[in-house]
Amino acid sequence: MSPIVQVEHLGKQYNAPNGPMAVKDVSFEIQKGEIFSLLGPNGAGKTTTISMLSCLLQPTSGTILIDGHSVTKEPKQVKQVIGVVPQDIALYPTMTAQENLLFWGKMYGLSGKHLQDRISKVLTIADLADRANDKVETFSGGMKRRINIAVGLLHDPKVVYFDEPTVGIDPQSRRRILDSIKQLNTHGISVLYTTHYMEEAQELSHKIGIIDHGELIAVGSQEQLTQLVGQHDLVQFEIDPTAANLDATLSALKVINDVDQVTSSPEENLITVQTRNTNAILPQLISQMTETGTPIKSLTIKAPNLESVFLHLTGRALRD
Amino acid sequence: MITKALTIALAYLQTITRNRSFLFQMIVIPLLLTFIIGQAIGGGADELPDPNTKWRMVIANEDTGSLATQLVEYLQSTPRLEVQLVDRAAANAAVASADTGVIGALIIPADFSTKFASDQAVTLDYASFVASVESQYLEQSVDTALGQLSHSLNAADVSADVADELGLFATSDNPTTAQQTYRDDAVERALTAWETNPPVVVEAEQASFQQSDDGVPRGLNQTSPGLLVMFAFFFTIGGGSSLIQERTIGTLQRLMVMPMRKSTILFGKLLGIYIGCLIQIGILVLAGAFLFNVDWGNSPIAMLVFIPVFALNATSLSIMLAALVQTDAQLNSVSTIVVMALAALGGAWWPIEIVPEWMQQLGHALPSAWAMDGFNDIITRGLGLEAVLFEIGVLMAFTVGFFIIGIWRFRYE
Ligand SMILES: Nc1ncnc2c1ncn2[C@@H]1O[C@H](COP(=O)(O)OP(=O)(O)OP(=O)(O)O)[C@@H](O)[C@H]1O
Ligand SMILES: [Mg+2]
Repeated sequence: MSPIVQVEHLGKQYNAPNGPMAVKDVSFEIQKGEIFSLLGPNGAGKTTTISMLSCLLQPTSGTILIDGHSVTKEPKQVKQVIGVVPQDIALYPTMTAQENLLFWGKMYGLSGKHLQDRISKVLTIADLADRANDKVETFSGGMKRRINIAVGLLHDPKVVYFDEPTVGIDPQSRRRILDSIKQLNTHGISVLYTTHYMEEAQELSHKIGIIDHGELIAVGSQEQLTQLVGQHDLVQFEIDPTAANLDATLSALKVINDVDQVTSSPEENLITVQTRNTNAILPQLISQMTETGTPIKSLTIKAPNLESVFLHLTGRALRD
Repeated sequence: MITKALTIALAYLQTITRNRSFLFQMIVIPLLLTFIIGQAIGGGADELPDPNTKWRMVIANEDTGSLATQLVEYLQSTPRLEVQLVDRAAANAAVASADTGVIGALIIPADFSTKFASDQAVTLDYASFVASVESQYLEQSVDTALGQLSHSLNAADVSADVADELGLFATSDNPTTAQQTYRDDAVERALTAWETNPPVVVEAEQASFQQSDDGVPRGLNQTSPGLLVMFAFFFTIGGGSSLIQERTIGTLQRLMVMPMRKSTILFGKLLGIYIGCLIQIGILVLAGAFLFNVDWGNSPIAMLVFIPVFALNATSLSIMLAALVQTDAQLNSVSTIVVMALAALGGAWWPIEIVPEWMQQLGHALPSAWAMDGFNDIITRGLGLEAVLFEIGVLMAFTVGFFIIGIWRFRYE
């Protein structure tokens, strides 16, 4: 079975020849029926990649085949196969949900009874059938996101791209979106999902690609990826924001034996320590923190996960 | 392709019908301005009499010459005029108060025929009680009659001169008298010819009601097309700004991931702006005519051709501006300046005829001046389609240029 998405040596330079390389030599495949996540921080190149896969941006180098069709040579066939859910809410706010779906459906070339059927189907998926005749501008952020998704599903695509569909919404809407994506997937729809939330990638994906600074630094199933890290735990300290001397604390922690990495995210009041010998060094970690004047509010020990993979590969926390 | 473009156009029209403040600015404001200006210059509905009423005019003819008689006959045959011959005193009395119901009085001095025939300056006294639309019409009727008279006279002069050169009068006992007789005869024949087969132009001028004799638009003749031109540009540039907004919110990109060409998307949007602009102008013209008695000239055909040409020009300007700026905010600030410049230099605020020559030339570097020229030809000068073909050509040239720049420079991402 040939993959639904096949990306080889994809590169994108904005404002060539002097502009930045937003995507560098990215290769991956998505098998039919698979959920593939691109996990990476802001500016990693996720949207740029999706834009090239959607025929929106011309790749600087490399090839993309969608369901066997070249994105550059057969955009018409590609566009029939893909559903795109953009990062921004691309809807007409003064039109109702129904009117938006009608309009976008016609743009896909749908009409008549078939279009009506598809509209009620995607409204059910979005769980917004009862708000169909309300203007989109009256919707909550989460509801807008769900209609935004519904539009991408109208023409019954084989593969759907979701570009950070859960950014800035409440946990309830987020839950619904994740569930409906899983639901779609059980009906055989392949998914390309981008996010900078490790938990989402972990929950949804069959396969994950970690992207940073335009480079795909690792691809594989969650197990394959975490094996890269070995038996390294993450010890996370929640600290008091008034901590006097964060730098001193960090240097003190770094010199402890068996500590691999120390990172901090001051906005979240977190210090993260990566180690393969948690039990042995934990008392030392705690005493160093106290001595350097950083009070601990709570502490969590995490078995290897995607976050530790990212930390391991880049030396930085996913959210920084 | 056409279906999708049409769907895009209709969607745009749907969004503007929901945008109350936009509609208010584009339709209500110009109508309100028409009303206010109409009130200010006294072109209001109740002052306009019904077209069948005749206006009374008194003439004191103190001249016994044939030209004076001819002038009176002309005026008597002018539609809407009811002419009464009186003496000078009665004529003056008739316009001394409004009660007499006489709109205007004309006094033809005794030396009129002689002086007029020999091309000397001659003064006709025209008087009315108040300056009004009717009195203006009367004054113009007199002008027109004089014009006809002098045309006839010129023809007779030429004919008499030719006869003289041929030596026709030399053989006569009294050459001067013979020449005079010949001339009078020629005048007579020219006048008859004029009556039975008058030149078309004069007829059209007579039919034009608010026509001003120097061809410079006044009052609502000036402000109605001026407001129309200005607000049509505002409207289409508003459409250009919605195109940029679509790029900002991402609906434009979303359209591009759907199976259709970029050109279809742009064509659909521009079609929506164009249709919207036609509707806007249609409303302004009809509402102006029915609510405020705005006179839109004598040639509906000329208007029906000229308006779509102008609206297309305004549409092309919108895409060019949308292509030349980066953001919606930039377009908003630029659009005000651009429309003000187009309006002021193009003669939408005041007649372009009254500004210095260099400014008129500057104005004609802009499409608005050509649009106003066309509207003035149709409305103020009462002319038909042939008279505005040149303006149509120039506007189309602007339109093609704007479209080329706009389509070439517009960024979809
Ligand atoms: N139109 C553009 N012109 C120039 N540079 C761009 C353009 N769009 C994106 N970039 C740059 O390319 C890089 C990748 O951006 P991209 O939007 O693909 O990242 P992302 O992973 O989607 O980030 P986010 O999580 O913030 O959406 C960034 O450095 C960005 O500044
Ligand atoms: Mg992005």
